[in-house]
Amino acid sequence: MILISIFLPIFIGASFTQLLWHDRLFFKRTLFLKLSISVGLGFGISSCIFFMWLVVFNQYNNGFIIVEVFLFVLLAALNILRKERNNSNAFLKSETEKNKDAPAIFFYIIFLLSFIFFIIITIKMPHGDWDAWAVWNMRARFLFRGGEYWKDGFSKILYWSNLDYPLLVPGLVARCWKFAGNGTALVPQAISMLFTFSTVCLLFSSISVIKGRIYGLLASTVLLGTSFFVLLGASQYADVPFSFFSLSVIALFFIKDIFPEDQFGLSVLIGLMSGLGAWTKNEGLLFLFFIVIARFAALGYLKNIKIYFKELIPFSLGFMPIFAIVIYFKTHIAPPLYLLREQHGFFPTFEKITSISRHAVILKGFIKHFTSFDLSITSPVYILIIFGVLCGIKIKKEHEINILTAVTALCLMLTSYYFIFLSTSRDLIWHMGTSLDRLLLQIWPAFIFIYFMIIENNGEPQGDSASGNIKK
Amino acid sequence: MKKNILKDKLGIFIIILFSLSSVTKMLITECKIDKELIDHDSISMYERRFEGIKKSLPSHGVVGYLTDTRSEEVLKRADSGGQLMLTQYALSPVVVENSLEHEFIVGNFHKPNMNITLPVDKDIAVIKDFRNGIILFKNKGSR
Repeated sequence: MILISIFLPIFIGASFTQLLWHDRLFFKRTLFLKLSISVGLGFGISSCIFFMWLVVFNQYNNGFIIVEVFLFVLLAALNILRKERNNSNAFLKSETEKNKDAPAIFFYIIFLLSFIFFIIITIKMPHGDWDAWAVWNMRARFLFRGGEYWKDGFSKILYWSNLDYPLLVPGLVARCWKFAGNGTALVPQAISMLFTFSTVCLLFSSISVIKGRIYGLLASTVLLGTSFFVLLGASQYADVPFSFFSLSVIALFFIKDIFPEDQFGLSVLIGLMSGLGAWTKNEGLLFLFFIVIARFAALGYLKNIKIYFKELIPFSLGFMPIFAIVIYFKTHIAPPLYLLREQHGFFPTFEKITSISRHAVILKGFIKHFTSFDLSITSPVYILIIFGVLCGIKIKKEHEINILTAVTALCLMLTSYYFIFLSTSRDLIWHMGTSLDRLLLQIWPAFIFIYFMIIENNGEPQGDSASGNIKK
Repeated sequence: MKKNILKDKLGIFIIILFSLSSVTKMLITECKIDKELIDHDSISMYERRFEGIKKSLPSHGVVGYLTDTRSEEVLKRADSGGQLMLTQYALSPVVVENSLEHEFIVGNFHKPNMNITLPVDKDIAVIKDFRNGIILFKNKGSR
């Protein structure tokens, strides 16, 4: 039952992805990317269904399972009934998959070692690290064991448990427990594992489709080499699921340009992923807001603002239902955001944001954390700088808008983190020490993705970059 | 072009070397797994102490909390291992409040054979001592 409870959402995600991104011509080429997207999308949709079921039926039955099965059958039927069409605007270069070249072999070895590392950490910490059991899994226990009193999990008595955090992860864990009929620790472990490694697969497959397999392999190798990423995944923190959604939004903007006939569906998918990011962590709400602004700025500056509004309609169709759930949760169930609640008026806050020493501490912290990611042999940032110097940097004209969108959104995220630390009412050093590395990691996969989008393609370094090229 | 290919290959080599060494370093650091650790990690062990009291508590609602750790340290990670949080994790969906103003009070004690001094102004009695530092109290004065 545990396996069914975990795989049903993935099937729903796969059917939904295929419905929105319907290319059949490149089905084989994009299959891995679609499967990677399906994991997060399906998990997110199931979490939302479970939460709505909790709100409406207060746990009186297991109707959410019927809803999910019905949704899967409906989506599968729609996919089957949908007419075949040729994706005439794109063509695929002759594909010679080489799974035996050196980067691929080393990637598989690193992937396997990372997987073993993940398992070891999971054995050592079956309930996850601090935030996992004190926030995410504890909330899941309230949702699962609480019956009609599940809202007790948001009692003000539990103020220390960040009650305003959104419920994608706890909702999903509780849903699987409910489905399986027991609260085994295997469920949050499996969900964390799938989110961690599907983020790696998403990075690999998206770059492979856009730029070539070799770059996909290198990008995902860098991500796996960032040991803190795998450690945080095994610790069952929600930062890794959020990094999955932020990466998928950025990557799908590039994918959308390659498949112009699926513009509408892919824009809906981008909206959905943005909304699910907001359902995962509070930072996701910021990301959603910044993506909307960044896209406006990028399209307005480099193209035509009319295109933005044309894109905004399907994007809104995607994120609005999830956003409505987030708003309902924030206004009816969760107490106010703790960072806002803990502010002590205008003057103390003003004093903090004008304090030079605080600025210095935060800047130093940002540089230190971004250039360390403590656990790796050296900072992956240095490795990327060396790789950039060796290979060169070039922004392709067709990628300009998406790169500007992504860079603007990520810079706004970093700026918002900066101001959160600047105005925090908690001890600054403690606050940064317990969260900055995780915050940076949330955007790290998206950062690697953008980095490999601007790396110059010097011919075919391993004789394989052509294998993944789908060009207009 | 040849120069570029050489540079690219060097770049690829550096990335692979970095990732392989980072992952290997982490594996070497973490590879020591004591077989006895399986299912005996600190959280599982802590949680197991509460298995008995769980059956005696109501299925929902708020219960009080009494401990031998000073109250200002109950929520602190370093001093007490977040014992109130761990207790809450173990007993969810019952809400545990660091207070004695509830009918049922969960006692969580770490020092063996200690003499527990109960507040004199409250009518608190021991219902059951689970003999592992966990004691269930009843505050007869509470509504």
